[in-house]
Amino acid sequence: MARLLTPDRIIGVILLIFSCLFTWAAFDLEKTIPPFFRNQPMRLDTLPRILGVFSIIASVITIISPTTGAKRVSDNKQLKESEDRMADLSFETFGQAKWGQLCAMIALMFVYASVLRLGGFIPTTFFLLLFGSILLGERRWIAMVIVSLAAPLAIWLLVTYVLQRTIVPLPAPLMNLIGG
Amino acid sequence: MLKKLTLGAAALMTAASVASADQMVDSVHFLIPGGAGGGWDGTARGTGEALTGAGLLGSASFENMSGGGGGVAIGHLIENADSMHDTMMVNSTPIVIRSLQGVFPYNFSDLTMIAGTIGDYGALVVTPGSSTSLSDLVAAYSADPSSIAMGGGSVPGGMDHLIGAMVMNAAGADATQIAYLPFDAGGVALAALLSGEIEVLSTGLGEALAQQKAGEVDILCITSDARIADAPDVPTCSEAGADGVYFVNWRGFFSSPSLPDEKAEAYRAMLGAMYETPEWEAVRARNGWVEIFNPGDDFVAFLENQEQVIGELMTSLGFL
Amino acid sequence: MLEGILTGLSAAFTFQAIALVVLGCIIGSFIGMVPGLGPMQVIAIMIPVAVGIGEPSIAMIMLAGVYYGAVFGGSTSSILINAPGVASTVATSFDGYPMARKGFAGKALTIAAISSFAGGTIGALLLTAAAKPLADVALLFQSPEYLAVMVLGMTAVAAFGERGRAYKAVLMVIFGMILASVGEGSQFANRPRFTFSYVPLQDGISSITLIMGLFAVPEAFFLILDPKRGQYKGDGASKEITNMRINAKEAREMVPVIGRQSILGFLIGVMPGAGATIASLMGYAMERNIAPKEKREEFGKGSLRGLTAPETANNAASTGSFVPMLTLGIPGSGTTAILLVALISLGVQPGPGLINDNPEIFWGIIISMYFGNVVLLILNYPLIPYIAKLLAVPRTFLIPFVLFFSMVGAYLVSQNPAELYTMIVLGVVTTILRLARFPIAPIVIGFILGIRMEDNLGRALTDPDYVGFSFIWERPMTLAFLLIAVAMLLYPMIEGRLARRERKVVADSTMNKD
Repeated sequence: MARLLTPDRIIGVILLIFSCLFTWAAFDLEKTIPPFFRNQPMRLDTLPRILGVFSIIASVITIISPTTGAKRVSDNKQLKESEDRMADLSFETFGQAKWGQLCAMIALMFVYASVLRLGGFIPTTFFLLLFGSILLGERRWIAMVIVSLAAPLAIWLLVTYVLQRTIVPLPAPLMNLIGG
Repeated sequence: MLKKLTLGAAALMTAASVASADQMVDSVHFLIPGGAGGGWDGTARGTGEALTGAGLLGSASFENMSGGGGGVAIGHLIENADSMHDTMMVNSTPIVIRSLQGVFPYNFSDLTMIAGTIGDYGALVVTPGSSTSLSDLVAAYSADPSSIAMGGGSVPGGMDHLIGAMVMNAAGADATQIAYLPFDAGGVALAALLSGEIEVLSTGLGEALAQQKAGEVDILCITSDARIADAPDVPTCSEAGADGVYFVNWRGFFSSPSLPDEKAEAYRAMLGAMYETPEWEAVRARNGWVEIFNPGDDFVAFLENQEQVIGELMTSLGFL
Repeated sequence: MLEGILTGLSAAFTFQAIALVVLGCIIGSFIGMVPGLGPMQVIAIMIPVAVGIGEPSIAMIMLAGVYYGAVFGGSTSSILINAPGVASTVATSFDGYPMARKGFAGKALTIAAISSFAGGTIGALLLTAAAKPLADVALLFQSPEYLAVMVLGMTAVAAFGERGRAYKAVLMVIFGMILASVGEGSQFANRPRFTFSYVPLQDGISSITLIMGLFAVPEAFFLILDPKRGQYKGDGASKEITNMRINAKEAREMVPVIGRQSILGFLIGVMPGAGATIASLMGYAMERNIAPKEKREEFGKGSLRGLTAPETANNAASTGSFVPMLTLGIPGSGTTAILLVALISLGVQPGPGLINDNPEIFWGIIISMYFGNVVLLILNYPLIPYIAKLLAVPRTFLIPFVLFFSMVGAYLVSQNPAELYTMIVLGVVTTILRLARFPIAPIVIGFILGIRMEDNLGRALTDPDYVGFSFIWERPMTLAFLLIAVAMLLYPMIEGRLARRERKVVADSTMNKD
């Protein structure tokens, strides 16, 4: 008995909504086109309109397609084994996954992105790497501090002296203090 | 790598420590609104290199901040105006065009205009022997409009398209009917010209001259007001039958809107002094730049005039 | 010609040249590993140094070292941490990363090094033999042909279609093309599209942000979610990581792939509007579609052929792009455009006259390619086991490092935190798509080829020589490429159907038991 609500269909519905919004936006682009370009064979909305329509069709096919019989048949034993080892989690093995760690890491990345300019490259990166390791369960403090300090320092030296580009290394008040 | 690193560090040290008698500004932070390797990047780094090399400037630092076709960097300069008095941002003609198109929330007059420093004229080029003059091309077009496709390195309605349309219009052809094929790099557009995909290419003079020297193209005309020394045989577009066409694609520097006047004057004086130095001549020759020093109020007047001329042209062509 | 070659050789075998090429290779390999810094950026950085050298042939030899180093550095990060820093190494990660994760990192790096070397060297041989006539071939190509070549490249998507679920791959390609249409990336987008007046979106999603968000970031997320992921449990696992051995059977499998892809890649590189990225995708597509059935199934899961093909093709193509640059003065890629600037700065004007007026420089550049390739192989070969060891780093250190590395690449290019937000969001979306078993590679293929297809289609439609789509049948080469593309897509299907019919008898008898 085929299930009604499969991962394919859930994603299909989300993408269908997305496709409809996109198609609407694509057909709405016309008003931004200056008069000269309206009669050109290729307009800035030509491809988006085509893509929009096709994306709706493809999403609908994804939703209505039968859900059974999608088992991979492989005669290659070695391949199958390695595939299992590399396989992504499926919806069935959801429970065992480290969702907490992942959410914490994503939050950490967002914080990093938002304080990077303000806090300077070296200290913010230090805390990103340090907290990243901590939340993954690492407790070798000395190694962590060394690695977390060495990585941003090395990249900063590379960028500043070899590539001669500017990334602000320290927080703004500190930079003013040392006259940078 | 270590060697390079120490070399780099040593170079920075000398640049910082040689406080020669005629140093005019301590340090400038060059803000580049596009990525590494582009035209803005080359202009800012070349200028910085010449200034520090000649001892006019104590030290130069460079920051690439791309995004929004330059809009992100302009926004950054406006938002942090008070803390960015040692910053000069490089920009060029597209800032005018993009403001007119309304895709920028800003205009050049929102910034302090330091000076226009270098420029490039537009040029129309064809494969050798295909058309001997601009009037030939216009005649061929009038006889059969579908026989001519024009190419360029900008988007439709962008700078190269505008220059081409401006010349063709002034020469008596209906520019709105000419097919324009955009290419994303000068090199690919040239290949399209040589392969016969396009019949005429609208491009910058610097690029056109290099190709002409290699014997691959003929230049029909250039958008300057007088013939230039590097190519005395090439007519201006006015001479070639496109009366009154003049267009220069400038590059220049802007700074924070709240920049004090004396600081702006110091920057202008420094840039003015740069043209006399051999270090600048080396950088200029390497890049094939045309000098157009255009400081302060001249720059403002020039930009306002350019905005008006381009605006009228774009409206009449239906580009806006 | 011979005299010119000898002059080139004598320039290459000086102490200064050898020291510079070694230095260049090392700098290139290190910087090239940082996502976002590809060969083009590294060469742009090294231009002042090269111009400072003053002697054109020696400067070019150093730049060749930098160049090949950077290409190899890019492959390293694709293979080890699924972080292809530039578009031309995306196809490398399709099979290189799974191979490394299965425990064969040393082998994967060795295959990459050998394929790159072979592709680059065979490319240089072709350049030596036929630069002049090939220049004319480059000018046969116009927008309709490029469009057809991109369509051919699109057939790579077939490698990622689950059997009976091909529509999922198609949906992902369209999704990638939709992402590409944001902003002003295309030549025909002369007003920003889908930016909702948000200025940072105007330039569109940058390819480095997209690639990191689609590959490196979600991979790190999966490593967090599943601590046992891709880990070797058996004994001798750590030995396997650094093992570089390629057995005779594998070598025999690589040789024909290298042969085909170095020639094909070179020819694609010769076309000014194509280049290494297209060549690597096309090479991948072609090898996948012509491979025997059991080998075809390995693609995307650590296939030897799937790694060899793009690595060979992108190096051969990079070499091929020197043909229009040296003989016509036309830079066909970002990298050759920057090299052109370097040459002009050194007082050399590439173009039709170069080979006659400055034969020593023309041949010096070509000699420098052989030289750069050999030096890189000699330098990197002994280092491979140590580089591969990166995968033995404990996950508590590796994962934060991979995430930092991906973010710093995108940030360096733009200095704009908005890129980082985009990347994280893409990473989360991709993770969800992967959980539902939607293939990800087609998104990147759609993204990379989408803009170029729009440009070429637009030009072909605008060209007054054709009426609508008449270029398809009016230009024989366009038609031929399109037919090959259709054949490539249909061939596995037809073959599969025949095979299934044979198996049906066996399958029927087992099915009845359920």
